[in-house]
Amino acid sequence: MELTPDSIVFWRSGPVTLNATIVFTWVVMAFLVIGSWLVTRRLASGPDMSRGQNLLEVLVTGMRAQIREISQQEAGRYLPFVGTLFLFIAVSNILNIVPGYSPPTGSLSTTAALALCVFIAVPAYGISQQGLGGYLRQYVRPSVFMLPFNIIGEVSRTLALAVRLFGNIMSGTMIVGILLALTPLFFPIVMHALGLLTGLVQAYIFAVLAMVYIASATRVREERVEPSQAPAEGDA
Amino acid sequence: MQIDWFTLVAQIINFLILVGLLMRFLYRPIIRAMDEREERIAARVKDAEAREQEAEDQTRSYREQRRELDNQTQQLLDEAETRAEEHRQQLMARARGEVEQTQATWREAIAREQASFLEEHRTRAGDEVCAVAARTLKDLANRELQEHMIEVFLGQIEHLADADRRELTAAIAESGNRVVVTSAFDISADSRDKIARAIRERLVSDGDVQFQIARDLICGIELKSGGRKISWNVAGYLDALQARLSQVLAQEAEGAGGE
Repeated sequence: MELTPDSIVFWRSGPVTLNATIVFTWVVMAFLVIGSWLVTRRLASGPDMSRGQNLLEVLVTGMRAQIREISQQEAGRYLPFVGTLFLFIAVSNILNIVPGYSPPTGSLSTTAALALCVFIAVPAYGISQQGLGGYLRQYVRPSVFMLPFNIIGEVSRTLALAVRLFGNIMSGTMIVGILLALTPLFFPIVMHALGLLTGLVQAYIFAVLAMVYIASATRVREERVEPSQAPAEGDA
Repeated sequence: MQIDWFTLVAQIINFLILVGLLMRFLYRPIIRAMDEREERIAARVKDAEAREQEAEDQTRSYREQRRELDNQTQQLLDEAETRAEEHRQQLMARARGEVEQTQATWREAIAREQASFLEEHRTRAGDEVCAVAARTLKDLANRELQEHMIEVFLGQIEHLADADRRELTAAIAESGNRVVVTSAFDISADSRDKIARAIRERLVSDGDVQFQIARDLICGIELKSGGRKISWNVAGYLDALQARLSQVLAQEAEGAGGE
């Protein structure tokens, strides 16, 4: 029994390895991109629209609303990153019902890659929002002594993000595999259904946590702006 | 279980590519379509508001027009009422005039009837008076009334004033010496000779004297020639009687009208 799709290698040439993780990632990407293209090539701006467009609009609207709610900012700049995280993880997990498919999110390499993306995106968004100095200043707050702890916290939460997703998806797949060996029919189906649910929940959690981290990095400015107004009130 | 670094890097690249592709094929078109729809809905809402405003304006305008029409209708009704009243007054005046005319005609008719009644009575009363007088004269003097009349008539001719006689003679001469003696009764041959002789002696010596009978002369006798005449009859008395009768009848009519 394979624990991770990394170990399923289709083709290898030197350091280049084409394993199941990459291949199924491409499948998911193709599914998402082709599906989107099929729907969005004939978009209607009137009240009559296709079901696919309706579904995509509901998805996009829901994601924007969630981002707006969490970040208290306009969703426009965060939607491509956070939305893609959610869609990729969700579709990767949902396709688990297809026989022979193993979700790329069950690979620690994938989840680490996604966590790394978040790890990079957080300072990127933070710096773009408030500048390099403004962003770095939050690491020495409330005092310089907190710098190592803040860095450790930043790294550890990224690590936790990767491990949580990997663990949940991998364990779900593993449980289904074990149950399949013990009880051939009934329990695996139930667990599969539960796996779908946990897969969606994991996608949601991963995206929300990413958004929370990004929001915490971009919201510093607002926190900093408020005290700057405070002295004026204090003077008064 | 370990991290495959090649796979990790590949997945990072894959993910970034996916972000770009979804930006291109999913987020932008969908958001653009939603924005367009929102704009269209906003435009429709704006359009609907404009139309609603227009409809309200039209409604207000129609209400004003209707009020104006109502006013005009009321004005026309008032005018029609005024004209009807004027027409009624005219009709009333015309009817009153016609009534007055009818009354006048009626009064004239009454007067005519009254006159004819009086005339008839006059004639009848004259006849009666003559008959009574004749019988009375006959009974009292044992002579015919007509002879009395003729005598009176002859007396008139004989005692004619000079001026009257000259005028009468001239009139007879103008009519070719023709003298007509008209009587209400038949005159005897002796009386005719007497009358003719008196005329020839007093008025015209060669006069052509003709005798006629006219019942409407009411018990009298007269001489006529060239528009002049000498007469005696009861007409004068009867005229007085008629005047008296008219007076009495008028009083009676007034008394009846008063009641």
